[in-house]
Amino acid sequence: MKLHVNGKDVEVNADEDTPLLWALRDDLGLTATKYGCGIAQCGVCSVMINNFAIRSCITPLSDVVGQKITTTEGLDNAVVKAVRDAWTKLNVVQCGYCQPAQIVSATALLYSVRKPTDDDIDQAMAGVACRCGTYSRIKAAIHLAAKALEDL
Amino acid sequence: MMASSDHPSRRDVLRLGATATGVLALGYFAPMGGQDGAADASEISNFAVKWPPNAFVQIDKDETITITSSKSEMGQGIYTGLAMLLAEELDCDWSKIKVESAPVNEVYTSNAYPVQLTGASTSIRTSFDQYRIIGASARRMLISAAAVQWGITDAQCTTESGFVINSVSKAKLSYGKLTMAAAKLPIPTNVPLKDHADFKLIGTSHDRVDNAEKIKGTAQYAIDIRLPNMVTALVLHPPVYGSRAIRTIPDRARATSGVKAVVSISTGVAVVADGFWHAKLGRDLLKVDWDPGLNADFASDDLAQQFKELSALPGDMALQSGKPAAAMEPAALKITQDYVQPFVAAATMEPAACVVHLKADSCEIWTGTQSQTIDRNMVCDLTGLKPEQVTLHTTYLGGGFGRRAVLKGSDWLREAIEIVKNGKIAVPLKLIWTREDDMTSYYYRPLWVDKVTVGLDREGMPLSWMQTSVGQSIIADTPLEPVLMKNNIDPMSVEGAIDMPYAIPNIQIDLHSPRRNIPVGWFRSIGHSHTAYVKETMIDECAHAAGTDPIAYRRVLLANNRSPRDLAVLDLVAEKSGWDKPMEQGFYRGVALHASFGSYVAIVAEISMLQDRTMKCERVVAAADCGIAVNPDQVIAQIEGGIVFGLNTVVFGEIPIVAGVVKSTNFTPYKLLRMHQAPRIEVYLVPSDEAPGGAGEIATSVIGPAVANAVFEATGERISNLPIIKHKFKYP
Repeated sequence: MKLHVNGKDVEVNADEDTPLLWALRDDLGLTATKYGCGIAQCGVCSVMINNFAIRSCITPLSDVVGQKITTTEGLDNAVVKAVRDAWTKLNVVQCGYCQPAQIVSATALLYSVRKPTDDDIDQAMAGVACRCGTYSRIKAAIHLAAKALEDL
Repeated sequence: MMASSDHPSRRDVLRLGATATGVLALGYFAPMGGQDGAADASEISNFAVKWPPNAFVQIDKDETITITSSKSEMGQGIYTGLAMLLAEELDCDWSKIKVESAPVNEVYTSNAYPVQLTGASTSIRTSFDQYRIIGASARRMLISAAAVQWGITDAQCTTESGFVINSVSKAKLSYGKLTMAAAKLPIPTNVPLKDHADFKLIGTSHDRVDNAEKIKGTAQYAIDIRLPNMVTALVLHPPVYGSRAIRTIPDRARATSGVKAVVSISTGVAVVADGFWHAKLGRDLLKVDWDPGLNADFASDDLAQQFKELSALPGDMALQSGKPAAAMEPAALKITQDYVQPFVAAATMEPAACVVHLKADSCEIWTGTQSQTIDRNMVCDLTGLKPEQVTLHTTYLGGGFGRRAVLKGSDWLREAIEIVKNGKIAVPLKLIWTREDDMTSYYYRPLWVDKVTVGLDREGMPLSWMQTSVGQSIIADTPLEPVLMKNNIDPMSVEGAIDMPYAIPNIQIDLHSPRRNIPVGWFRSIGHSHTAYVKETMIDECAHAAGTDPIAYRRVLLANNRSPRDLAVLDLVAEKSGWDKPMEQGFYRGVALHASFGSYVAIVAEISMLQDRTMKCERVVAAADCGIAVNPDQVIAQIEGGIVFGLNTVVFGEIPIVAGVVKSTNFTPYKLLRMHQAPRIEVYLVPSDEAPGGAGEIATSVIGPAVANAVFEATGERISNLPIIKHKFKYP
């Protein structure tokens, strides 16, 4: 099947009902997107489809043919740079396993809401679980990134 | 006793050949001991005082400083912490540092346990001297090399950020330029360490060394390892733990696209395929009949009931001070509670995974383990290979929380080895547990029942405290049992109870450690995860019975305490939380105080509670004294994370088991706390020059009772049976 991943057309040797997650990880070697639950509960498999965060573990390839798929590896713009800088400055990560998905989700949020409130952040980020409990720093980092983007 | 190998791995030999490759590589062992929960120094020395053929630090000619972490990085920031300790004394350029995980080797044996292991919040505590001594020794060797070159004495040299400075000529030489000459010098002994007042790095916050990899997504966890020709295995596990396959019909699984083999192992039947998804599709089509096994009738509610009955009988004595039974008689009031704290799962975000490549004369392994020696030895037992033939790469762990320190060897790694062995699989094999496999894999925090009776005098102060705890020992039937079990008492079953700080004249803590056919495991905060809840909710109950403010009540009980540190964190949390000010309508608060792993934590939790029992923990204020905080920002991060983890446990945590079947198999219904459910958290550290305490686990056990005490303020209900959500509360 032909997919459009991180700005490139790629061919994957997989059936159309294969979840996008496993095509990314096993066929394309894009391992920043993680497996956590397989039932869209934990969100660590989040990737962007056309700038919106979705759960790749339950999204069949047939749903994303012809769509713009972006994983952490393919994110490179002013918004994600501000997000990553804020993550670094506040030392958000702990085990780090969920953080690519947190960053994808935070970036998607900032695409649509330039100055999110705490409630906006809670709503946008509720789907991505962090067992290490880095939530307060994630929230602070999103505010910090939004501020940095405002000052650009 | 556990066998340890002193065979250096190939990499160690390379490092030993430092003079040949022109770099200074230094290995060292500094015996430590006497930490709580750890083995005695005398026991440690039997294992560790052998000259290490190994390196903790390597200085390359290009100025790169590679520091080897003897501890697994599972989120706690240990790579950064250990690097700071070594760099403090080495006086190197922080930007040139990189950190690697250690191979399995005796030189990396824990300074607390007779194996290479990360756990019990011992890493910084027991490496504090060791990593500084190594740094100081390397620095001294670099100085000596420079002094020879300049024809001056060592005393005429100083260092500054990766350079040796000639104090006479003001010339300077970089560490990279000196490393070759330094490597030829003898390793000095008794190098003095800096006075704490002279610390430049220790005590200041440093960015994590793993930030960049983890933010970009390049950090590799075991599940991410990819090797040429690698296959992927999933295991169909029995519905009842310990059951065995008696008949397998593999045909449909085998016929699945991409499936290469179906392999029976002792714990289930594996489907090996070209990737996860095909293995999963194949596994879905596997038909297996299982024998009923030993646990077909096992039920967690029954276990709680059996334990409750046991708790009415005296157990093995863990602590008896004064005359608890006699002192109970004249009490003006007796308060009794029967606590039940259920099985809970660590539920690391990365489900268990590993890659193994077994050949005739070697085995290479990649996994996220907290317990390298035991895992390596298990692989030797399973394969017949010698220790030096087994190479174990510790990847980043996608969370540990104790689940990755299995004392009988990592159960997922055992499965992978059995698959490649039984299936004669010559290519690298990745084993992945699905979330359901991981969640139903046992090694839960033991189910605990505690029966507590406290007798109060007329003023409401405790005369006698009698507690009978019932729960499975984590170390029972493991290699640590003979090391740590004393008089039938597993110290980690009663930690936090036998050392309570309150001035209670008569105390008895006794313990039943019944054995069952299901394994239990470490869980962030270990024994404290039940004892802190019991102690701090019961003391709160006593304070209310006495009609005294819970903080004031605790202050009285701490007045003549041998250690002022409990009182100091309690006072600090009272001040920072604004305890003297009333709460707004609809908001309630509770306090808890607990010392664990060498650190002291007090927490005030504020909750909102509506008429319909909808609740949320809104704000948490924590005060902690963990001695010298090597990297204060990361100590705070651990306290923040520990609070979220502990809150998750007390509100939602329960693994119910019915008729041998685990009923909580994924994140529904095993709820993970989400961002919108997490409180605002403020952490205050008490400045301290005491030896470092733990950080990773110190807050986890304290938040639970603080929240439960707040729930009492709101509802008048004492929750002795966890989790809180069971009592018709809503926590949306």
